[in-house]
Amino acid sequence: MKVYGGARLRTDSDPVESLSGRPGLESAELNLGGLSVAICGAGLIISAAVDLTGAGQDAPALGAVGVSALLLGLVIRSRVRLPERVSPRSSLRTVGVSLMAMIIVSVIAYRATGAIVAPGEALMESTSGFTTTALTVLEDPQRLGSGVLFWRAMTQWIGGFAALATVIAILPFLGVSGPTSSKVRVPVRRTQMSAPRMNRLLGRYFALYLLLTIIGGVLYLVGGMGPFDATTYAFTTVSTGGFANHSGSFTFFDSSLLDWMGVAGMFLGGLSLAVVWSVLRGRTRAVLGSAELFVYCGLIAGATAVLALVESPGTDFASNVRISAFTATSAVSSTGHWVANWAGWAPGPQMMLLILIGVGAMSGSVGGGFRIVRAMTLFSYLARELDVQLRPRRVRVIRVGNEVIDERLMRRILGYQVLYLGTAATGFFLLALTGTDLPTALSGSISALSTNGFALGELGVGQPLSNLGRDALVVLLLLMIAGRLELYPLLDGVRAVIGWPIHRIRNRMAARGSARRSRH
Amino acid sequence: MTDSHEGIKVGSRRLPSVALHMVGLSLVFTGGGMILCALVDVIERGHAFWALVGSGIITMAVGELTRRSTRIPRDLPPRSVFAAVSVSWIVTSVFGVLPYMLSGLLPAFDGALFESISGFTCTGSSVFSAEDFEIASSGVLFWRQLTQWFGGMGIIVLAVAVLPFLGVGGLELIQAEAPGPTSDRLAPRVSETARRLWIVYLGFTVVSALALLATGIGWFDSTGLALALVSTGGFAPEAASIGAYDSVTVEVIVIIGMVIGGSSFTLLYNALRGKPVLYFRNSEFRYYLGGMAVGITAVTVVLAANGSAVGESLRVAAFNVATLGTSTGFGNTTGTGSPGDFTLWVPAAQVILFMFMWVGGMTGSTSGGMKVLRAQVMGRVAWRELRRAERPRSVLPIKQGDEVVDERVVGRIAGFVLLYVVIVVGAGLVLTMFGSDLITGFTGAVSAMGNMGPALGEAGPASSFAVYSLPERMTLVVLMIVGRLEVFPMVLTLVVATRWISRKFSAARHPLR
Repeated sequence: MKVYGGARLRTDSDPVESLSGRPGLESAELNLGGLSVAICGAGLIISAAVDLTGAGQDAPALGAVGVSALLLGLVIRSRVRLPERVSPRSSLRTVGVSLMAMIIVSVIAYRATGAIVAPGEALMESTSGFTTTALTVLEDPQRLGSGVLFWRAMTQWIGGFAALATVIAILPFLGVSGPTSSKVRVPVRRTQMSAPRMNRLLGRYFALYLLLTIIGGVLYLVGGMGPFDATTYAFTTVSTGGFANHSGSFTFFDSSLLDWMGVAGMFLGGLSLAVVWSVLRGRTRAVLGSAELFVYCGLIAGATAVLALVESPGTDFASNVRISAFTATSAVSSTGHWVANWAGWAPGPQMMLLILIGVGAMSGSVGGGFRIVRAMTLFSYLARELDVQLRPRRVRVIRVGNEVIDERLMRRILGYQVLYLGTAATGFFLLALTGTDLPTALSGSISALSTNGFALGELGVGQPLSNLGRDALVVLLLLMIAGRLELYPLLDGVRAVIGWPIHRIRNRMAARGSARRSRH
Repeated sequence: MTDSHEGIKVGSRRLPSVALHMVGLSLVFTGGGMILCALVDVIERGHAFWALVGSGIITMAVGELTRRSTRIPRDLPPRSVFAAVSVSWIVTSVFGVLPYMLSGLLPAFDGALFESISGFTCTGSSVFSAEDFEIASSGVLFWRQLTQWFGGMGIIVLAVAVLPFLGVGGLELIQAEAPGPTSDRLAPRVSETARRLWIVYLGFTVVSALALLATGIGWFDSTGLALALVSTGGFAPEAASIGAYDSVTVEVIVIIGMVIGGSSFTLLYNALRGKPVLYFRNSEFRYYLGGMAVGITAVTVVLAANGSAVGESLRVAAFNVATLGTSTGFGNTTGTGSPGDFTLWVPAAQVILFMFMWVGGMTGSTSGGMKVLRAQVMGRVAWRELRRAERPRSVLPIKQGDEVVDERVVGRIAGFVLLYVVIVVGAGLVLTMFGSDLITGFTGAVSAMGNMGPALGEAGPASSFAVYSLPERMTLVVLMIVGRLEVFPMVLTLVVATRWISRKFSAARHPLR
């Protein structure tokens, strides 16, 4: 599909389109929504097949939902064409609709199998899955059949890639993918990209994602997991999701080797796929010169060191470093797997982890958060601002690594920063309004927005979500969606809802004013 | 003018340093303030007369010596202006500890320094315990109030107002010493502008003091409160702050005073010149007032919905939103478990106050925080960003009132807000690393940076900042000065100093370069 940035919105009555001879509906929302439903259907069918290798009691339900979703999706896609041009607002809606469709399919699957019956809980689990957040309503996931567990892990795996594809293919005009590191950049900022080219790019990204998943799975196999656990944990790790098959996350395995494998997997998840691509192409120089990669590694290493020294969570040096590294990587990559309850740690490490969670992973990765490269850009901007104060006549460009940041992009990032902080603050207020205490509300808002999930207080790792009221879960759910979709689709909806009456009133007042003037 | 000629004539002997010269001037004025407090002490039959006179003489002597041995150089690059303001604030605050220490009230340097800086920066966070208020001599308590009054409009503004010879660099100095006047000039001459501002400030103080006196709280308390009110400081002469009077009348007067103190002095000046309507033509003022109205309503609703009486909720909501929305920081707690102690409120109401702690009052006022204008512009930037999502190539100017804000100004405001947030979050991390819990540490940083006074968690209005350990208090003290000078002067001074040191080092390592 082609995305353009102009103001022309009308496509269905375009004479060229009607001459093209293909009858029927044209809608990006329905077409891509259908695609999402079909993908979920395929995933469910695979899960049903997996279930057959185990007990198999959920296979019929999973299979039935899967086949119907697949058929429904394909039928919609065959009936509704993707328009040649998609307006920005329509792309924002498309993203929202697709996510909703996937969540609905998953809710139906959970309820049909009887795994999670309460609709609210099923909704929470599905949203948490597709937004790659680690919050779960299940106190003991082991009670689920293997098929449902597989599907649960798969929601995160699908969600992770869907979010990345969204940024690359559907919302590039936002410029939110930001600048990626120099030379290892895949051209994602172009607003005009031909459909085959975009498909090729997405295909390449998907292959990389698959490769990372396989690497993750192999790591876990080597570490001593069974094939089923290795696959599902690879899904939830490389997608920076954080769902675990066991209520104790990685503490269940009680294996330091597996913990380190988890660190490696989460590290890969937060890594920019463009960097992975460059590594495969042998462009090591470009990779080593990537400033964002440098900061990503630096943040993890630095946080590990600070945690090991300040908090010393383990019993000896090795376990200190291991637990610190795991927690730090989980925070930076926005995953949410855990080996220690950091909600019980000292305040300093908690605050540091919250900051890291807020900053999040690399751009061009499947991880969430504000993204490291944006934070770097802001710091570079700050350095220039300080310099300008001292030498007012100096002209200086903003650089991240070796790349010069365009002034317009800079302004967008400044705006995005305000939106991000504003959303987090709103989430903080709303969570507090539902009656959660201040630490839970503050940390929960930040963590849900960066799709990590776990936070402090009642949202500490391993705490059952049932501690929180339904209202609080709704707020968390909205924050997760906002964070996963780079804020815009959700906020644009909010803006439309708020802006519409204001716009009406303004127009009316302006009309009245001009009428009065003409009377005089 | 003669002084200026003299300065150039004997320039060879006098050290050309604007920083030291401003330090000297500031010390002379603060020393004078200490003598004034000694007089108050005599009238109120206190026991700290000699301590105050002694501090005053020491401060004035050091100030006068420094002033006489330095002169203002002819050209003032930005870095020396920033350095001058930062250094003079720090040194003045350090001398401000003398009355506390010499009178034996706060014998430890760190406690006295905290109190002094908290006063000069108009923060109003105190380490005083309830007993300290009882044993404190009136003169020292008056000094505590007076530091805020000096800091509110700015000592340098005062210097420029009184000593016209500062001439050339005056405007830059005044602008660097923000919250005082902004670039709005009230008169063609800088010194005249500064003088008018100080006259308005003085008049406003006198009027507030008279209004408070009429409620029958005594001349000492009403003057002391008025000094803290117009400067949006937050220290009160009583241990229980405004709660000590437990009077709605006093609270209403205080609220009105704080709201005026937190609004632009240019507007006040114009209102006194017979153009009060300009208040409501000002977009920032409308948002400032409207924001507080919304905040008061929201807090009242939240408190009332959680079982408090509506009248009582409205009273504590109005007072606390006003005190934090203007960065004053008075408290109206009347004992343990009092409804005025907002750390006991339901979380949502606390979060509303927390938002006000970030923003603070208007530009060109004596208040702290990020300022309403900046919040407005940043809000518009965010809104524009959302509109751009729909029409990526549209050109959308940011408007403030009817005027389009220049993109460079928008960029500068964004930079300021960014720096502000980064410093607060960084300081919050430092505070929690020193052992504060998350909420106390983080909100303490927000409160100190915004010159508010109380924070959430353990450092609420019924508590004191003695809950913070020594390293935490020192961090807060730095934040207060950084926040009072609107971030840039202190940070830039630090940047310049770092560059200078690194240059010296590299020069030492490579002597031939």
